[in-house]
Amino acid sequence: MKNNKNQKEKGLSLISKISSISELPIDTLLGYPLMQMYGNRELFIEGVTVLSNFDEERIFLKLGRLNLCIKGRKLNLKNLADENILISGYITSIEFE
Amino acid sequence: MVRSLIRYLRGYIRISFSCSNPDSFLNAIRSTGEIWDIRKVDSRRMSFTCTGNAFKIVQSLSQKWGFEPEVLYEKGLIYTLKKHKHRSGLLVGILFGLILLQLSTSFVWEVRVEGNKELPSGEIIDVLDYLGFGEGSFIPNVNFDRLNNSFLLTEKRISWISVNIKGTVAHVEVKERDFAPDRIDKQKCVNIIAARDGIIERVDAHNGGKEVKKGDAVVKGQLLISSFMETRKSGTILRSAAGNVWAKTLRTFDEKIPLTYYEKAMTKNKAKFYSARILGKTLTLHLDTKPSYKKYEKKITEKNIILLGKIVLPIKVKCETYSEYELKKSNRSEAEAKELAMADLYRKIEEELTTADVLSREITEKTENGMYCLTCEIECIEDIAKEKTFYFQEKS
Repeated sequence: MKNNKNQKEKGLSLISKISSISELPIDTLLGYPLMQMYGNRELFIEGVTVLSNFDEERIFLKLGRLNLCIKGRKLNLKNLADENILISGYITSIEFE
Repeated sequence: MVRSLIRYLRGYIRISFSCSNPDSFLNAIRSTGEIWDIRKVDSRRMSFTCTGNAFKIVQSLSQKWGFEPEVLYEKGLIYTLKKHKHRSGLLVGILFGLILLQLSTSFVWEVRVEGNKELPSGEIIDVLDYLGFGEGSFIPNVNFDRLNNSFLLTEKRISWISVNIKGTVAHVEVKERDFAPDRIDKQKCVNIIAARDGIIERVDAHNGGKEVKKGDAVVKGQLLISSFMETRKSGTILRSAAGNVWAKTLRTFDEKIPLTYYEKAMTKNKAKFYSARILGKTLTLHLDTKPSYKKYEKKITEKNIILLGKIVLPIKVKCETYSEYELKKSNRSEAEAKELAMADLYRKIEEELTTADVLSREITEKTENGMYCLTCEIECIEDIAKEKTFYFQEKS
């Protein structure tokens, strides 16, 4: 189990080394979701796999392996198209679980 | 803005639905197409907006989930057209209107004249109208080179013209001609004669030979300064006479003011007749063109219809207002008549004796045959010189 974790970490550090040498963005190599934030008012996320739950104060999302919790006030799903999501409102925190 | 326009053109539907797990349903439908403005009413109810195509998928999916989505509203061009699809007249009207609008852009809507200083724009527009170009002219049929040349041949006061079409407005740029000064006619000579009877006070001959001296009594038309001048060396020479001849004259001014007169009294009757001028063609909007009464004052106002304070439409609305009046007999007192007569008299004296020195004046007044008569005799010193041209030709 420990060996597996070490191997994974080794693999990740190798990919990040390749990324730094080749100057390719890490998200394209690792398939990380892309997040763009406009102040604290709008958040655009590309690569949403599951929209778990949402209300005006919290939005739970799954981005591949990552679990994301967006907290704020008057949160609103402004746009939803396939894997893209645009959240508007007063964003106070973004937490990765 | 652009996104809103695209959404409007494609059409969109606002949906509300209620199920046990609305978040999961949203997850299931998010690959169907664009979904926006998602709002959670409570833990079971949710509403969102989607395109028409996405709605069909949402509908089929919702049936599988065991609920029926509620359509709150449908908006967009497609739905508006669907709503009015049975109103074929409206669609034909819109189509006809669009065709008319497209056609109307091939005609001149307005003529704007630029660059003229002395010559009024109206006169230039009239000349262009005479040459067959004006509001309502069909642009593709206008030969601008020919129009420019014809205009220059017709209107001599313009030296250059350029007619340019910008959209539906014809911009007419002109340059006025600077006329060369008149040629001096060497055969034309001038004598100075007396404009009226008088006794000479002073002769200021700038050119020519004096024919009168101080104290001479002259009659109207008498030669005062001759263009033939005697010189010691050259003998008689010919010059255009010029100068001022000051003489003592007696001027009489008469003023007659009727004590009974007729004045206009407007009645309450007013009639307005409207007509529209569309692309140079007049369209009367009334069956009658004149009022029933005989005595009236006519006032014409014409204005263009302007859209949004900027776009001048090729429609002019002409309003003819006929206000009826009656002639009422009135009387004025002698004092009122005198006041009017004196005002007229002073105006005449001001006009005619601007440079004269008034020595004395005598005013007599009388009333006869219903008229107030005022006679003013003025003794003054004024310039009585008057130019009289004649042609002189030497015999070869």
